Amino acid sequence: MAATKRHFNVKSVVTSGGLAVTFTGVTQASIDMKGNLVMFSGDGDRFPTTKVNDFADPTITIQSADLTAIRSCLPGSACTLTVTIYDAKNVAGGVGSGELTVVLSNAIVSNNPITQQHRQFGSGSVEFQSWSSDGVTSPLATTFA
Amino acid sequence: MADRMIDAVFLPRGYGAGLTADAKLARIKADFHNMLGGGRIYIRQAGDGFLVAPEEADTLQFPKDHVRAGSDRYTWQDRGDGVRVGVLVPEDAPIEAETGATMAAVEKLRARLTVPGAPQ
Repeated sequence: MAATKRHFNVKSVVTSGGLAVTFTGVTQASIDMKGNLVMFSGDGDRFPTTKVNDFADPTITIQSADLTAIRSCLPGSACTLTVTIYDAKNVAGGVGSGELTVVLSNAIVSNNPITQQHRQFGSGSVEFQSWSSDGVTSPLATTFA
Repeated sequence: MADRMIDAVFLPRGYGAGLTADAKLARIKADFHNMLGGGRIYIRQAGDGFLVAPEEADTLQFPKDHVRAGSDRYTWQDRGDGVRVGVLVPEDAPIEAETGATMAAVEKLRARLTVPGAPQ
């Protein structure tokens, strides 16, 4: 079956390296380059005349009902984070043929809050920020096999 | 799994202009997947383009804490259309021998490389 170019649900969220956690009950995975634009205007400009992308700070935030997994991700823990998103028709095989898999190298947990309400499923999130080893290569990669 | 002929590919930002994202990925796969060993490959923004490499932690330059920080980890060869293919510079070669190591990498690249569409 050909890839649909549409995606539906999160297949897996796994960390490896210094922190080994498999998330279950994932309700949302937010993948954000957090790119920044610097703009210039001068003289009588009423609109920016130049914009450049000078910086990005790739971040992935996982929301899950798996409170134990969330609480095991202590702030400051370093790992590699792999998120795989289903093709809408569950076609396997990676980008170009179905699933979308992104990997955040040099990931580091910044926060892991949880919330539990009366008569509700508990939920929480883990924010993984990252750093670049060389300063010019993004730690966020898209991968396929 | 194919034998790895090269260690990385650098795609300029305008690579595959006019193609859909899926078509670009299909072209990357067709052109480089086997040359990179046929396993999982990772595409990431790097410098003013994209680095395509077989390891999740591959970087364009040596890391900040390396003695060669700021210099490329690869010896590149432009195939004529802005796309560069590269082989790793030996990480443990002494700095004074870098020229020799680089030339050895170039020779390795020339000996093994057959790039589709490259000028002969």
